[in-house]
Amino acid sequence: MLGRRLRWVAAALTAVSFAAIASPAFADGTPDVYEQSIIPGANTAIKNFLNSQKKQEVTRRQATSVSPSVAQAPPVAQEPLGPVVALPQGLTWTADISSAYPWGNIGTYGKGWLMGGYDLAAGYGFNWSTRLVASMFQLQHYPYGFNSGLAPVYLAGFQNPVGCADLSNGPACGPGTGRNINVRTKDTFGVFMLEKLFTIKSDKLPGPVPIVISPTYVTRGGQIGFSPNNNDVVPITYNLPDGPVETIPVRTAQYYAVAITLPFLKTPKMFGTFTVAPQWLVHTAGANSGNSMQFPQVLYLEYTPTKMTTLFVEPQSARDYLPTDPYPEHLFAYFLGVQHRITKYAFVSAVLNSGNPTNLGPDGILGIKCLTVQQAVNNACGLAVGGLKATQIQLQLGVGSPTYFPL
Amino acid sequence: MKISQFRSTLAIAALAALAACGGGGASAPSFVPPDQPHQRPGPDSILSSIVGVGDSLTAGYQSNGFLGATGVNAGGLPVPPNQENGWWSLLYEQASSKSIDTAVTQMYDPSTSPLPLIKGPGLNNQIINANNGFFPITQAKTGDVCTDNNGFNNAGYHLKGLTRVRMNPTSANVRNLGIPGLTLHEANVLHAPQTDTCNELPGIPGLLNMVVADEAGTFWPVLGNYAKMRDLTDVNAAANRHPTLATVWLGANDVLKYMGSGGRFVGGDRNAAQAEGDLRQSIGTLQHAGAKVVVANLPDILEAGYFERVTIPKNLTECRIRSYVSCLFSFYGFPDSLVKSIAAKYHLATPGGCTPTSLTTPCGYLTIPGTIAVIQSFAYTGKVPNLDCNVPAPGCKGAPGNGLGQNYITPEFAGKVQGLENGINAGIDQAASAQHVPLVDVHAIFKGLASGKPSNPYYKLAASINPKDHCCTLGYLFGITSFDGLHPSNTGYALIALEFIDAINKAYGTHIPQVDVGAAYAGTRCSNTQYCFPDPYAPPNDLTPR
Repeated sequence: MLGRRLRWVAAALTAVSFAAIASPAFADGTPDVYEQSIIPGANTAIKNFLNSQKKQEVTRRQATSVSPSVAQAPPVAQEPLGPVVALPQGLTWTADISSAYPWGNIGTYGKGWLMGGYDLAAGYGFNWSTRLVASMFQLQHYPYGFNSGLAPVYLAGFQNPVGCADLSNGPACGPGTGRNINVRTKDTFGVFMLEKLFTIKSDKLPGPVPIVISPTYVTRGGQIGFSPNNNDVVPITYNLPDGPVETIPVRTAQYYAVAITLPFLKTPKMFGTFTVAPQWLVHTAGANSGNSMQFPQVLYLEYTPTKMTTLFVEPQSARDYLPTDPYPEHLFAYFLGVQHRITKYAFVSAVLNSGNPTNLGPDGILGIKCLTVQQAVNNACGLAVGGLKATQIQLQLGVGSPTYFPL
Repeated sequence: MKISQFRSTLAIAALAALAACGGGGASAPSFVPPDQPHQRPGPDSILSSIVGVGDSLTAGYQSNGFLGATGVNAGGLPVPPNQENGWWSLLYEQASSKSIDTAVTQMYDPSTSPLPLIKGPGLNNQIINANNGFFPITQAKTGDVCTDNNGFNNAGYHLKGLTRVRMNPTSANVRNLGIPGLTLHEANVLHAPQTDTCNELPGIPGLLNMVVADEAGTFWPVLGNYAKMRDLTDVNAAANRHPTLATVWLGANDVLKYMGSGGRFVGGDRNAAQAEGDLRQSIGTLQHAGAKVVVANLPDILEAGYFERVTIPKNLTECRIRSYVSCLFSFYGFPDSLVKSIAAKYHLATPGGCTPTSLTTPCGYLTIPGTIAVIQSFAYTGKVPNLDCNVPAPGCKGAPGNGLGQNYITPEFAGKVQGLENGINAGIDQAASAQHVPLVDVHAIFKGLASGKPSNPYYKLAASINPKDHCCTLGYLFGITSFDGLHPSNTGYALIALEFIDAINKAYGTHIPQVDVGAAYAGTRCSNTQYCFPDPYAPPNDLTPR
């Protein structure tokens, strides 16, 4: 059967996933879209389909043992022994509230619980292979390096820094002043996708292999603690020392993606899938220099010790492309999670996620650029940001149908 | 090239009560080179459209002031215009196809001048003669220079202040784009002033405001007519004129901002590579616009009169050639022991001797503000002020080292300043070579003047202008620099113009008539005495103690 056939693959990919966990990784945006929205839906469809196939096979075996003559008939000539189950049909929904706590070298200013958030998801399955899903979720984090260390301060016109700023708000070093920058961040994502399950059949395969293709539109925005208007519009700069200082929404972007998910492991207690998802920005903004196709990849592996509890690990090689990025961030991220159903319609979950980009140089604030001395007075200088490394544990309390449980 | 601290220091350091020496008006120079026949270039030559990119040296800045208007006085004392007496103005006049009388008249005329002529009382705080003689000197503005004359200086920080500070606010002729305070990098990338006020800003250490006050206060007064230009910078504004010939002289402020801040400001270009990169970008932009380009290197600033050595000269006649604290002190009757005690206290002494431009055996200095602070205090109280205070006074408390750059220069720091300047000059040389443009060796002029050797052609020329009245040599108040000790006098600028003209003629085959340095000294280049007057910074005098 498919599960047995793929076990050897599981061993190899599990090793890969642990290697990914050991490497630096991020949890800052796009990876969560996969973790929260795209992957769970596809996984549910695939898992249900495989479970359905297994039930049918069991039924077929039972029938064969009772009537050997029936068993001699070619399998392809047989009618299905029960309805195909894959994507949930009709209306499904979940809602939860969440909060997160950041870990790592975030300075004393960053310590503390982050802004709370909530998640909503609703889907409508037209049949076993087609479903529309709309969801929104929020992610809280506090990037490393924003509140510690010394950042060089540039003033328009000069090639070299004119001083530095102590991000821990210690004594000023040079003309810059010490400052604490509240970068508690809450990103809000809206995800709209069509889930379509296909099956691959071949004589070389023991049975049909389900694949889910999910055309997806993602829109994101956010809030940053030091934004004066409680949104993500803050002054930034790039291409130091001569780049502009722009006040723009730094966490806002829109993406198109086409996710393709296929299984590699299915046992009674374990399940694994692999997803690739070509994606593009809807439009460039800020420091973005181009918009070539990105190719994120996601591995998902779960263990279900009981029907009420699911443990999972999800390493990703994701891509993020925010207005502060001159080119797409190559993110290595991982999620470690546990979900537990406490009643039929209520669940709790805890997810540890972490990561950072591997191609953006140092993490945190690379420098501060002031166009004028007055900007320095008013803390209106632009921040040049490198990688956004963050680690946090997110707790959720929800109702509805959590994505990690079989429906 | 200018030093902000100078204005505040000198504002409290009027030397009106101090004894004067010399005095009297300028007399005719004993040596005036014969006027050369003018071979005027044709209108189709590369001299038809000249622009200047640079800092205060290109702007014609003198004596800590920026002024184009004539007939200005402060408290009854005349404030001489300086923009029209800079080397660039002399070059422009000499290269014009007009008579000198006409060319000079048009230079002063707001409707025809290529200069961004500044109204009286002038921007910043010009140091002037206090008794129409030679010493003492004082400043044109008293009290708070930011609010003086209803905030004339502050108007320079705003584009809308253009009509207030400019004689020709709507001029389409401005071609001298020298912005006092501008650095090499700023010339290519600065799009607007970094501050909109000359007032102190709360919460910002004085240094940051200080290092940008110069260019921020003169950016719009110079470039105001180009404000609507896309991607405005000093170089882009010059290129926008599609010049046939462009002069580029920058880099002094990269050194002076570092020096004046005691090494705390390191935002300017820091080495040869950065200087070369910036200058090549400037040259490339101008060449792309169709200009032939000429660049200049920097004189050794530590040889300028602003830096008064604390060593004791063996021969007092050296005071005419170089600047020593003891020369000024002796003039007031202060003993050499006073110099030695100050040198010891601030670690300025070099018992083994020193060489001003050496990286290994540099000299220690008091700056002119530091020297004046000591003279003022010692003359009135008999006490030496604490030069580490922001406002030096006897008994005041200042963190050790706080006065470095502003009031004194230690030998160690002097070596660093010289090292930076060497790097900037190397970058300028490399850029000129790489871009195949002629280099005006201003460094050689001042090196020659500092040598004191009669065999040196620059020294020989300068010292022969009026030897009877001891003019002109590089010592402070001996005629080559203006009262701020950094910017050239009319005579000093004429020497620089001489070298620019020579370099342009040699490189591009032009026939620009040479400037008459003696006439620039004597004020006889033209017949209008309102426009051509004796060099106010090089009157006959002899400050040498007897």
